[in-house]
Amino acid sequence: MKCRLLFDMVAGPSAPDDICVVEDGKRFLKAETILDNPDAYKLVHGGHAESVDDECREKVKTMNQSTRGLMREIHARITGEMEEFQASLQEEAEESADMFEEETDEENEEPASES
Amino acid sequence: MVKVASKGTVLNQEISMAQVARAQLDSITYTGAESEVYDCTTLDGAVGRAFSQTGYSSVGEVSISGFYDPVLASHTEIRDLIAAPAEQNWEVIFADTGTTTMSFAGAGITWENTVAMSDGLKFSATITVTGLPTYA
Repeated sequence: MKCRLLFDMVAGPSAPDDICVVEDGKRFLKAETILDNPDAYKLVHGGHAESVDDECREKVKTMNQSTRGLMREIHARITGEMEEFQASLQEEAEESADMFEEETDEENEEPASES
Repeated sequence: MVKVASKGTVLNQEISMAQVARAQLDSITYTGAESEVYDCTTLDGAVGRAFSQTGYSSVGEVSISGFYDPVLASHTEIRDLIAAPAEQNWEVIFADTGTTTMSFAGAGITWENTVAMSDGLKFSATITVTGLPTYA
């Protein structure tokens, strides 16, 4: 059963290296990658991919259509929130590093000599 | 030294080779990891009991809980592992600045639902870890 990814996703351990792209040490499955897997219909139903063969298309038709595509929205929201939170943590870490640097510089400054 | 928040921690389940985030969780707990030891105290030994390593480790289990939506794939794809048992790959992404991940394979699962007047509809599941989790 085959599907084609609609957007980039993080690869799981069972994804073979030859269909993955490594970025920042992480393996990704790029959009347009075709996945051949018995669970491919789940990604299609979730809104992450589109069917490539009839087997997948027919399987998705038997599933609850009211929740079709919902997982993509949820996945995007969860990963988006995580990325935003990571960015704010990174910003805080950089700010405190800058403050520490400024404080250290001030401490290291020699007092002006009196003439 | 940093105090890492629990907020923002994500559990991914591998679906058709891709990692998909699971929704509406309120806890993720990893317990039971232990390097196994055996009692190697001998009659002619010292007062204190002695232990040594068997060379194996118990890898424990990961328990999750959350608000249950009976038609949401996030939950049905976990629940379905009871009807169709299969080894499954999972990944916890911690909310630290390095987005540390704990990847593990789950061999089995337990699944429970709770309906209580004082709370929303909840579920809990326990994943039996097989093999050592990997951290990256």
